[in-house]
Amino acid sequence: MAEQTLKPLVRKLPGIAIVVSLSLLVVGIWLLLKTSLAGAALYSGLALFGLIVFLALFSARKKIPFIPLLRASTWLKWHKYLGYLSIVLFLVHVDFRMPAGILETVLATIFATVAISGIVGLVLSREMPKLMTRAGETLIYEKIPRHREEIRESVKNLVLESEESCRSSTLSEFYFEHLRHYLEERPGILHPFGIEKQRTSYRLLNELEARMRYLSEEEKPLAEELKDWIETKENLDYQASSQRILKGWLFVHIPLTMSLILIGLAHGILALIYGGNG
Amino acid sequence: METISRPQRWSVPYADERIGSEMDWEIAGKLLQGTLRDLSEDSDRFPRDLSLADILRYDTRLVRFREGEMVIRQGDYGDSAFVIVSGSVNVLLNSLPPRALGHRESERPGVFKTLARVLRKKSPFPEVRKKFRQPDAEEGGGQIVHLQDFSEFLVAGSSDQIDPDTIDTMSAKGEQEGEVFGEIAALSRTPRTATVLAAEDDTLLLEIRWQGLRDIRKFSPQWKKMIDDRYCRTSLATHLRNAQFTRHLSRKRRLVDSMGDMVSELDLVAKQTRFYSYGEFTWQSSFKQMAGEGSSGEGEPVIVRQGSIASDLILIRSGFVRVTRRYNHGEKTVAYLGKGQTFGLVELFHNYREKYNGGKGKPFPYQHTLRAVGYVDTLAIPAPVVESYIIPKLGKSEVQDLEAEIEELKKDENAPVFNLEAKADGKLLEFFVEQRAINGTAAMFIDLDRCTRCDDCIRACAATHDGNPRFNRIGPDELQLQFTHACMHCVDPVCMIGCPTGAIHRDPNGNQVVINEFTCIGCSTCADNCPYDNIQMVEIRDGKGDFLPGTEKNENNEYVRARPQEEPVRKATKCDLCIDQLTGPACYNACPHDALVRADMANPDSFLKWLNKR
Repeated sequence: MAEQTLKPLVRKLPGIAIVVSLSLLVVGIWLLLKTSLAGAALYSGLALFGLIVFLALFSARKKIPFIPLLRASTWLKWHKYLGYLSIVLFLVHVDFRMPAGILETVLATIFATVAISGIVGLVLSREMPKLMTRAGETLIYEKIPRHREEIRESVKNLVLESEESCRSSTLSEFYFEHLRHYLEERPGILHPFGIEKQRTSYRLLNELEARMRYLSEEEKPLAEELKDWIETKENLDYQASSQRILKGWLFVHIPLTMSLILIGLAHGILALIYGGNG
Repeated sequence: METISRPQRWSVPYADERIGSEMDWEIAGKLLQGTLRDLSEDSDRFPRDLSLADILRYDTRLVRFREGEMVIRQGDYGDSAFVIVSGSVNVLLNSLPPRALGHRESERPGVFKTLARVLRKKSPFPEVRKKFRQPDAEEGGGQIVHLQDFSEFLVAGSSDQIDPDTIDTMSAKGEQEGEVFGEIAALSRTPRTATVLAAEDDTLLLEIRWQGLRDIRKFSPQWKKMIDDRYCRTSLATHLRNAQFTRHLSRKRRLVDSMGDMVSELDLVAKQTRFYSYGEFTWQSSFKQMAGEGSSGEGEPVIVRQGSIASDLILIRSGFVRVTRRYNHGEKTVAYLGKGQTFGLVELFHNYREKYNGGKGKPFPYQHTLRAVGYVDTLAIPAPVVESYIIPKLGKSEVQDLEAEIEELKKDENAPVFNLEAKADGKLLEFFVEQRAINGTAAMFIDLDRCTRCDDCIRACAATHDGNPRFNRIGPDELQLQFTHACMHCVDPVCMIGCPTGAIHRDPNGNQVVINEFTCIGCSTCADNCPYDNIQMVEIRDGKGDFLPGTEKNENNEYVRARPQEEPVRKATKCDLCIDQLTGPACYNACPHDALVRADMANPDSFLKWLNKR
């Protein structure tokens, strides 16, 4: 077991070594430039800008898969390493101080948001697929609305059938009071992080279980089928919101990177015009 | 008398399956008295429910060809053999150009052409084709391909006269009346090795479907001998030379056989080797049902049963076998074997050592059960032949491996002889065999624990195929490993059986199964045959989004077919493994999380490495 936990760590060692070495090198160069008064801010700023542009190219590479530009997994690996390095470089660039002035503050905030969203995205990308796979059937995101519609129709037909064939209103009442609304609603974005016992599906299954005593023998299999449908909808919600999260963080990370490049460019030009050699 | 029920295939006589073919009883009668006399001599050996007359009635058809018409296309997976009734045919010993075979000529774009794609405007419509070919009406029926269609084979200035010199330059070998051809490929499920053309107008051929041929071989000793002798002459020696433990057999060392003739060591072994076929040729029809039932091989034909006397060394000539061993009340899959691999050598080696080295141990029976997965063609080399010509020639490392396996078996009778189980989870192994993923040379698997469902793989596939993805990111899964619906370029490509124009074929350079859209007539034979549902039929459009051959807008501004009597042109599409790209498979390259792999199940080392990294 311990060996299994160690295995991924051992695989990551070369990468960690590269990031640590490069970070030490950056800090060393910075210290050297700082003592020699040779424009540490200018060089670290240029290096940081170049690095951010290179990191942003990962997104562009995905758009041109027909050009042989190494595998995307290699790009991601270096995206991570250089991303960590860029944080070190950023700290060096701002001289380990809080930024002053509006432009610098905006720029630093955007950088921090991009870096944090990247790290959060990485953790989500590593952990959420495992949870999704164990939660239930994998679904294609674009087909989820169709599945939702199918569930709704099937449950409606099942309830109508039970009312007609069993001459009992227990299941239809349950449907109109609780189930119909649940089947129509879309899950919140934080659905996968909710506690199971606080989920609507859990409550509905308990509610249905409580009504089992009012059901005839004929109705019981239909109620069991309803339970299956509730579980199917729960998985659908789980898969839908998980996939939304997995896609959603990129809507923060990528547009802000583009802003970072544009504002960073403006900052660089202004610094060169008005700031001397720093 | 053996009782056999009337075969289900006879509900549709073979002659009814092809337009323009027939079964003429007068001609059949004459054939049995003449060309097929040896067959008619064996007619009493056929059971009543599977009589020779009924086989001729339901499993054969007479087909007429005119000069230059293609009877057999090189590279096709044919499921029938031919007997020349009248006329003659030419067997082309050299290949025709890809165009004449209906194949596509592979072309890789240059760097500039690839870069130019960045600027190309994407079509808002799916399945747009700049160029397309309207299929001829007559092409739906059968293999109507004429050499006359290609100007390079015609006399200068003529529109349909074939220049004999073009045939001569291909070292044509003429076959005359009474000759049988195409039987080996039909029985052993291997691609046709040569193209055969009708050499004169009104050439009449008797075509026998593989099921009929198999029954004829089973009940007619004369035909069995004829087919087996021919098989021995043509391909057995080649196969033995390429197999793992028989490649040392000498072609030069001369020995005296039982008839007193001087033959080479290789030929002597070949002469005593028997070949067997198991399973259904068209196994794809029963596969889905079996997979749905979660079968662990119960319905698969047994080749060798665990515990029976080890009498032969089994060589897998084509197809796949499942190796199982008893486990409580069931059977556990421990390995699968494919073309060129052998079974039974451990047992035979042990028994040889016990016999000749004064051992006191009991002889080993077969330690595992061997079952045919789909259609399997095997060679059985009898134990005495193995002891005389194969075991003495084994290399030092081979002997060491066999001894190690024997020791393992002695220590623990349940020890896995095949080490694949040790590398891949046993449950996964069962999954690979049950889903027939073992057939793939580029099977797509996705690690669902790593896949973030970002669909970069799908987008990359679409971007490299003019906006049309060529696989579905769905499929059965086991232990968080999804066997995805993408063409896996099978070792045994059942999709290629019956393509009337040769549009689906193997690329001669990379062996990928590809489709030539210009010769695809949209008959969907390949899509129906694919047991994995990995071929899609699509309706193609022109650049304006109109269905080809033509659509127009009605008063409600909706697209309607301009010529209602015509269906839109359909084409078969599937993963081509990015054969025309500089990058290789775009899906594999595009996955940022290393969650997707294309696995060659015959050489699974890199796949197993990827699996173990999970």
